[in-house]
Amino acid sequence: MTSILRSDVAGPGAPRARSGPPEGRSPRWGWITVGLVAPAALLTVAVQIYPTLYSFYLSFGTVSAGTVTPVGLDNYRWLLTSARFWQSVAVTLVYGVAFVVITFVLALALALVFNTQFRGKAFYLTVIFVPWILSEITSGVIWRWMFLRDYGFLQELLGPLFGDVTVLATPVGALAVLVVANVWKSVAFALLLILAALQTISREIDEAARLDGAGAWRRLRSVTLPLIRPTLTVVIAFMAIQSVNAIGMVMSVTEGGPGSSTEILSLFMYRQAMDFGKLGVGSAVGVVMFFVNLVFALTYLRALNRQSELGGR
Amino acid sequence: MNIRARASVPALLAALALGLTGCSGGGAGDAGDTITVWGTWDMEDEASGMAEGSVALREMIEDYEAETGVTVVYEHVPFDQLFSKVSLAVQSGGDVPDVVEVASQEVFSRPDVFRDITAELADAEFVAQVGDAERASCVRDGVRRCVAVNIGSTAWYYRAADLDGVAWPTTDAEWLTVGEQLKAQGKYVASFYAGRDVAGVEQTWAPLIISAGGEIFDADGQPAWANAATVTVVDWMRRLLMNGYIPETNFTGDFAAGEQPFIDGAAVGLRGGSWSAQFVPQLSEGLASGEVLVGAAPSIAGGPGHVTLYGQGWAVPEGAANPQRATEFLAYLMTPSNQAKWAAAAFRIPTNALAFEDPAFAEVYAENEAFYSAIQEQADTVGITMPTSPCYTEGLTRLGETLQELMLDVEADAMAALSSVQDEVAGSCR
Repeated sequence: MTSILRSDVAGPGAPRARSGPPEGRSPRWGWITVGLVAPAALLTVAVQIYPTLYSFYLSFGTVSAGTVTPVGLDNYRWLLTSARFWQSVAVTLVYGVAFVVITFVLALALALVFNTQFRGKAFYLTVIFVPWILSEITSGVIWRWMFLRDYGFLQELLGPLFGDVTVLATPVGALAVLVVANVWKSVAFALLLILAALQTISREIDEAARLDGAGAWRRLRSVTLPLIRPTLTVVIAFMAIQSVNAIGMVMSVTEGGPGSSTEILSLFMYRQAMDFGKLGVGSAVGVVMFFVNLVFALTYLRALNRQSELGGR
Repeated sequence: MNIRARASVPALLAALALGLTGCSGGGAGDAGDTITVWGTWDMEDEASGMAEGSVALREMIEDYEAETGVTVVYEHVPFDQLFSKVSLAVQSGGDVPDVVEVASQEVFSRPDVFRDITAELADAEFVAQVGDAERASCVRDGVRRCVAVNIGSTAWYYRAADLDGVAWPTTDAEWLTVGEQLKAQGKYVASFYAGRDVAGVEQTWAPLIISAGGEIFDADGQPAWANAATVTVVDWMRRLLMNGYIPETNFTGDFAAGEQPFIDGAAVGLRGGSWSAQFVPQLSEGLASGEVLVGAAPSIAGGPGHVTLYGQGWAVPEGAANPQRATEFLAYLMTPSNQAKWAAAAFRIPTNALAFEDPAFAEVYAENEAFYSAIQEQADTVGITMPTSPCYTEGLTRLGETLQELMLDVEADAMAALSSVQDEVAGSCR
């Protein structure tokens, strides 16, 4: 696997970075290296690796009064036969696909617009970024209030489309509001990544395509998108990870309701562990989510490497 | 493996570090002189309906500290988080408080979390002074796991004048008739909270299901709500909702949304609790003036209408550092004068019979006699306590979600949905 730390990233003509210790000073240099890396490594072990491994351990047991009793694969067996778990998986999939697709398309469209020059560009960009800096809970409460019965202005506006019931009280409406609220919050970050990638494309390339007779759509499809593909993959992987782990917005907007129609996997895990006291089952869900995240994370890292390779040419 | 043993390693290192740097925890005395208390009363609250109760508790704590020399470290935890926080702390072997406030029905759903304090309190004076409601709240099978400083009860209120000469409906059939009459005047019969959580089931659904002859958990604590009585109640509620006799927000809103139609005057009645006068100003004013009355709970399919009883419990979690001082503090809370102070401040009914004679409560009782006597009579005659179950929280949460789904999808097969979730919870109830 290639690494973003490869010494040839700066280009074939660049001098190769020294990768080993200074000649004649290797033992001391080695201890300095260990000393510099150790704090970060210890911190990573303490707050990431140990808790992750411990969750794996807990997923094979039940916890009571501080004691873990091994139960083998029981927690996983229960998950596989739980209709509620599979419903959460399905809700997460629908929510995740809708969130990623809409965020991606909207961010790409906005990035293309912001890659041109127009009056008030900085102002509009700032406006789009405001939701991104708000906390998930604050954003969620804002969206919940906008759909309050008798008081929320969006409820008044959209209520008739849902048979005049509270929009958040309908499974479709609640899921749609969640998706829109998360897109509203996340699109700025995706926009930033794509815009940065677009600005690395040389004007000459676009100009050359134009001279060859390519229209705007053709240039976008055949020139722009292929050149920023690694960034687009990063954006999609990042958004996918975000959708699997989303919980703050869900808790503050719908709390998983109506019924359990918006109980995504992360909320299912939280409720099993925290509300129902089943730390073992909650950990088992966490392990499942870990592997789902791992797939997206590997895709993300691979795309990052690809991006850095292209950036170096 | 013992999590506490693992947790003690960093604690030991921290202690060593403190020792090496010459730090010591002076001032607080030894652990025997301090107890930590987690409660839902916010000591900094000076504005909400709970403020008077908070002041009463603060004064009790100050008096206790002055009398005993024990330092009480109080921590406010929101009511909807307290039970899960303390359960998780005990379960994972973390730091637990010495005393915790807990709704009585939750105590027996997690006997592994709360200490058996029968022996420690066997000789306490209050034990001979409290009534059946207190024992029903905190003692099961001869084991005491909490003390209930007062009893609260769900209650149905109505504005008599808004009924326009019609009597408050007491049966399921009367609700439909009166609902139609009030609808013609643009009013709902009643608003209430029947949301998708534990409280929604405890306060609204459970009394109705039990009135119809059904049950929520069986004698072994296993889920048993998939019965004909529950379906009868669901069908009745659906008719009320579909005909526009009750607002949709009863099922989709939060506590406040369940009260708002009554506050606005859009609903004639309100299912609240004996405590609601703290939170709904129109209610306390109406009760004082006689404009608002306490009505009977709905009787379903000929059964008696029920109200749900809550003991405002205080318990000692397993793993508490100072259990002896903790039980002494519980006994202190149960004295007649303290119960009187608290009940007077928070519209509750004391569990200690002697508290009724205390001037602090006797005066308030006399001023609100109609309210207190009606609530007390209902508590004595039709009050129910929630059954014990090892899957109490999960069961009621999942049942609440299912009932909400059934109300929002009136075509759905109620028995099939109830059976499905009953089977699922039963499968995980271990």
